[in-house]
Parts: sequence; structure tokens; C-alpha cells
Amino acid sequence: MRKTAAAAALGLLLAGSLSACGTAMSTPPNAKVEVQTAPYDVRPLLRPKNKFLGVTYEGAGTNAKALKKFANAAGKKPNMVALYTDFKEDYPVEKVKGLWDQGIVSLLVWEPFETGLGAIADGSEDDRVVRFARAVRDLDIPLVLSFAHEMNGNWYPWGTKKNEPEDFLAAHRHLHDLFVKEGTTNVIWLWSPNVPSNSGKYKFQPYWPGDAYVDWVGPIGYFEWSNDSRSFDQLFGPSLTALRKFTKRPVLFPETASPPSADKPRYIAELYQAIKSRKDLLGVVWFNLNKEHDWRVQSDTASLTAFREAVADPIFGFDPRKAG
Amino acid sequence: MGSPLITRQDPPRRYVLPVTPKVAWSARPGKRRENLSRLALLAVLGLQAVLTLRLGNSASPEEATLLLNGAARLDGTDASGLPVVLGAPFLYPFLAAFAEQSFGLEGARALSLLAVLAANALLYATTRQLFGVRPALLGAGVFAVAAPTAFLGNIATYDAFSLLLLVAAVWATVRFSRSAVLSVALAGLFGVLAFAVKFGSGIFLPAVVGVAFAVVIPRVGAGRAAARAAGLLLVILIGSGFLVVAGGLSDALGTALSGGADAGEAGAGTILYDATAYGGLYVLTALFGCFSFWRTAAMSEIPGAEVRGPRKGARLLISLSMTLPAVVLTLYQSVVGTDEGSLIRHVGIGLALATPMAGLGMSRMLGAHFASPQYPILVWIILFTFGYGQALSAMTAWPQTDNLIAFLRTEVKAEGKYLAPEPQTIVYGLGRDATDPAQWTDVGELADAQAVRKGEYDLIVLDTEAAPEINEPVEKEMVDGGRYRLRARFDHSYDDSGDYEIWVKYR
Repeated sequence: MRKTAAAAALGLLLAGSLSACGTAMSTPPNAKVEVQTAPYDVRPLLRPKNKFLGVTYEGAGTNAKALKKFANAAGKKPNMVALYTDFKEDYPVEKVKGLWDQGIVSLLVWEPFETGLGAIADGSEDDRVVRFARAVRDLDIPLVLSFAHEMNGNWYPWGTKKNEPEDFLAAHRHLHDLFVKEGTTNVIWLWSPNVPSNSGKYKFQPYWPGDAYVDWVGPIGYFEWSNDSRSFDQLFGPSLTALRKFTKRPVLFPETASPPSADKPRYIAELYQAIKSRKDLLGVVWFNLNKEHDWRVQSDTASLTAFREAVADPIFGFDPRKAG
Repeated sequence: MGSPLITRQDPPRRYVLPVTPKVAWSARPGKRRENLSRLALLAVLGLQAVLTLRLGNSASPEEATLLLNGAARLDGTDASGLPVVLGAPFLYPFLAAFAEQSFGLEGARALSLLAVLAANALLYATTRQLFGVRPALLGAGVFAVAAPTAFLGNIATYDAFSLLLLVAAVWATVRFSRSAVLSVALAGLFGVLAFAVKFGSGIFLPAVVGVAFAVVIPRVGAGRAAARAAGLLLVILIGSGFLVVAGGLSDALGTALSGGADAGEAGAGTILYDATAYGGLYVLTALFGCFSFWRTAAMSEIPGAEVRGPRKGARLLISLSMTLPAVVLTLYQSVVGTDEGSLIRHVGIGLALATPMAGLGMSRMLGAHFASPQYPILVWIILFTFGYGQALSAMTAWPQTDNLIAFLRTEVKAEGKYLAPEPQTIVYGLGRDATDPAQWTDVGELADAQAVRKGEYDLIVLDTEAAPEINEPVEKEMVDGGRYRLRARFDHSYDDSGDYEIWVKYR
């Protein structure tokens, strides 16, 4: 009887103290901090010494023949290719890796055709974004990412018809923050508004997310559009002046071209000459598609000649894998 | 007719029944038993070493502070960019840095292990002197598996040495109780050194004086015991005062008294809860020992043997003087506040002082002649199990910096300016040749947030587990200034709860 009571008392004492014992045991017995190496350092690509020679073509990232054809025509292999990707698609790992293996960095134009900016900003799309960010991080290859380009125009679902500047800003910043949270540091963030034209004065500054969220600025403009024919200075000059009022981030022209015209060779020469002469201009992605117009540099012999001569300068095209 | 056969017969031997002793063995420990108990103690210490050495993590901020200060002292260089050492910088930091320069961080940590092993051996000797071999072994056995024991033995901080010196002071009062002068002088010396090694251990010195008073009452009486205790107190006060003045430690002592490194955010409830988790069962075992000792001075298996021991009052005093410090100091800390990292260290010292009573409690649970081994086995297994897990959690409570340090080696330059949480761990991890402490600013002590906006730092490290009031001002200035870009993010925690973010300035 006495022993039973003693055992019961001891049991009670044990139970009392044990109830608290678990608190200081948050670490699993075999826990380890995983050895991690530093992610790809994209800093050498942010302001490289040489210029980006970019192109968009039919079947970008998959059509090796088209890429080769362009390189042969241009006399030089490009080192940047634009990939247009819907927001709902997965990260095109194979395309990005395939291009990178050839010394080409991908510019992924991320288009939220069916996803509202509000849904992105309020976190409804976080699962998808996080999955995407992790895929980008895990591939550990530099990627230029342009979200909701031409947001200051009214022709895209994410444009001014349905959205306020704040909607774009909130969505862009939220995406950036999610990428940071996932440690996806190999992304170069490109902000791409449309340049003002005769048909519309598209504002820049209300859509500017801030230097903390953008690595490059990328005004988009075409040399001839709706009878709006302009020289390089007329097309991009006012935009560059306007941009410099609120940011010193370098500029990459992510989308430009000219339809066939007598002035097209001049436009090409002026564009590449400007890029060559200004340190803050990093390069250009030529919209080399035959769509609505023949925007390609091969649209006529004079244009192709002008292009070949312009990009022959060694400053254009470098292997981004060896930058630094 | 012949004569009848006469054979010679030996006279029958007279068998004398020997005097039978009441028991077939002596209650006094024989040579063999002493040797066996020493072997058992060695086995216990071996277990303690194994439990300690299995733990691992990169240098903690406190270890880094102490080792950098010690190294600066060794080299005769400036240590002004480092946090203040809350103890005499010429004692532990000097010794640890010496070991570290020869054998690395593990060498400095090995010193702590040796100190805690020595402390347990002294606890064994103290308990053996007070209660006998069996409680001594059982006491050493429970102390060896307690979480603070393994933890304190594996961090290169002054805690292990202050623990050793406090235990040595108690041991001296018991071991040399026959000589008032010797016990007071030795206990006083150890007490002063304990205080000098780590100012925070000063709060345990009254407990040492209390033990010194109680344990000699049975031998010398209450009056002389009080006189000895007063003498000890005087020696400690004079010695400590002299050290503070002569050693130029008043500023560091002032920092320690104003909270110093131990100031924490944990509430009283959390502190009590955690302290119970670390030492609740241990103290209960000790209290059981107190209760049992109070009721019976000693167990004896010798029929009719006279059991001698102190009187009930003295027994109670002895018991409580060793057990209550753990309880009272936990309550005290819950009132004044401490951080959780410091709690396990203070609990450890409390448990060490209570070890003789815990050993006695285990022995009394075991009963005469191993009557009920299930109770002490149960208690020991529970203490072992929780000690095993708790020590690991305590050792992995600070960020692991290996990934961060490996990365920063490629980033930092001798002329750079950097912002980071508890940068002494980085300075230590990189090596003092890589950067100077003055190049680093602690995020938690950032006075000029505008400097972030202006991009005055070449690199900023943030700990995502840091309090929002520390990180948010920096994050806000980084956003407003737009001069920084995330370069890398490394997991630093053992439970996936926190990362280091490394932000680099745009070039």
C-alpha cells in the first residue's frame, strides 16, 4: 500500500515536470543545416562592358534552325533571345537552358493574359509564382524577366483600360518580394513601358516600381507604327530623357523593329550606333518576325546590310557565361 | 591368546564456533569498492563527454566575442570594436584564445568540456564526502545527462569555468571542513575567481556561502558555522572588490549589472516554463532527496548498526542550502528577465549545486540493497532522454554561419563597410585577418538608418528571424534608396525557421 502510494506520488511528480520538458526540444535529433553554395552571380551582367545583341524569332527557344538562319544572315550569333510566356505557364526550363548552353541569355516576357493584376498582388497566385520562382532559382541560370510589358498602354488586358498604375505596381512589387523570399537572385528585373507615340502619350513615372524593384528599364517602341515614322532620337530620345528624371538604371530596348521602308537601314544604323556610343544603353532585342509587317532585318537587302554592318562591331555580342 | 587389538585413536578435535559478525562485510568502503566506484565515475564522465561532443554548431555570438577579445589581448591589438566581455578579459578569454589559436574553435570548446568534467568529478567528491559513494555516483550520473551539462561543456564561453569554480568553492567547504582557515581561504579564492571569470555568477555566491554555513553545522555547531560563512562572505567581497578595482573592470561590471548580454525579452511565464523544462525533474529528485534526508539521516543495511548523522534541523538546512538556489534563482530570473540562451546556463549552475541532493534522492529511491531500482532507472532515463534533446536544441539555438561565412569570403574586402546581425560571429568566422571589427556595424545597433538609403554599406546581412523592429527600418531604407540587390539567401537554422539574406550594393 505504502509502495503504491509512493509510486503514485512519484508518477504525479514526473507527469508535472514532464509536461514542460518538451518545450526546449524544437530541434529534430538529426537536423542539419544544408550546405549551400552561392547562387549564380548576375552582377557582371547588369552593366556588362559589351552590348547585348538580342532577337525575337518564330519558335524562339525551340527552333534552332531559325536561330541559325538569323545568325547567318546577321553575321553574328545573338546573345539574348526573348521568350513570350503566359503567366499561367510553367517556367520554360528546357528553352532557357538550351539557349544558355549556346551562350544566350533569355529575356522572358511574362504576360498575365488571363490573370488579373489584383489577383497577383493580393497573393491569390502565390502558389504558382513561388513554384515558378523556385524553378528559376533551381536552374541557377541568369534570366531577364519582364512582367506585364507595355502596362502603360491600353491594348493588353493588364493595360490602362482595366487597371490603375497602382495595380501594376502592387503586382510587380509583390512578385519581386516573393522571388526575394525564395532566394531567387538570378533574375534581372526589366521594367518595360511603351514609349509615347503620336497616337498616345503613355506615362512612365506612375508605373515606376522603384529602383529597389528594377534592374533595367526597357522602353518599347517601333520605328514606324500607324504612320508614326521617327528617327532613333525621335522615337527613344524623349523617353530616355523622361526616364532619367527618376532613375539611373541602365536601359535595354527589349522590343523594337521597323517595317520595310526606305528609312529602315537608317533606323537600324542609328539604333546600334546610339547603343554603341552610350554607356547606359545595354543593347536591344530586335523583333525579327514577319507578323502584320515584315519586321525582320532580312526584309530587304539594304536593311540586312545595314544590320550586318552595325552589329559587326565587336562591342555587340558577347558570351554572357564569361561576363565578369 | 593374544592381547586385544588396541588401535590408537586421535582425540576428537574440539570445534570452536567462530564469532559471527552481524554482517559479512564492512560498511566502510574498502579499497576495492573505492576503486570500483572510481571506475564507475570514469564511465559516467565518459558518457558525459560523449553526450557533449556529439553536439555541434558554428561559433555563437558570445563565443565569438570572447575569442576575439582574447585573441586581441594575446596579440596586443585593439578590441574596441567588439562587444564588452562581462568578466575579466584577462582570465577566460585569454585562456580560450590561447587554446583556439592552437586547436581552433574545437580546442576552445574542449577546455569547457574539461571544466565541466572536472566539475562533475568535484560534485562526486563532495557528495561522497557528505552522503557516501552510492549517492555520489548516482549524482554524477544524473548531472552527466542533464541538458545544461552537455551544453555548457560544448560552448567556448566562461560559463563552464564559472561553474567549475563555484562547484570547487562548495567542494572546498566540504572537503576541508575540519580547517576553518583552509576551507574559507580556498572557497573564497574559488568564489572570487568564479565572479571574476563571469560577473553573472556572482548571484550564485550567496548560495555558496549558504552551503558553506550549512554543511559544517554538524561538525562545528551553528555559531562557528556562521562565523565561517561570514568569513567566507568577507573574503569574497574583499577579493571581488580588489579584482574589480585592480583589474579595471568597473565599466564591464556596470554593463553586466545593467543587464548586459543577459537582458532578454522573455516573459516571466516563459522563463519559469523553460526553467522547469530544463531542470524540473532534476530539482524534484533533489527535493525528494531533501525530504528523505530530513526524515532519515542515512540508510543502513547493517542490522542493528547505529546510524549517525546530523540532527533534523541541520539536515534540513544542508538539503535546502543546496537545492533552493536552483529554485530561488529561477524565480529571480523570471522577475528580472533574461534571454533563453542565458537561462540554460544559469539553470545548469543551479542543478550543479543541487546534484548532491539529487544523488541522494536517487539513492533513496533505489532503497536499501537495491530494493526498488525501477524508480531511479525511470528518472534517469527520462532525464537522459530530455537532456539529450534539450542540449541539442540549446546548441542549435543560434544561426549556423558556415554557408554565410563561405560566401562572404569572396565578398568582403579590407576597406569595405558592412552591416550585419551580431557581426562578431562573422568577423570571427572570416578570421581576424580578413576584416576588422570596426568595419562592421550591428544591425541591432544601427543608429543612422539613412546610411542604408545612401548606400554607405557595401554589403548588408539580414537575419529573417530577427525582430521586425530590427529588420524593418533597414528594409524600408533599402527600398527607398534602391541601392541594394539581393545576392544570396542561405538557410541558417536547424529547423528551417530562418535565413540569412545578403544584400549587395549596386555597382
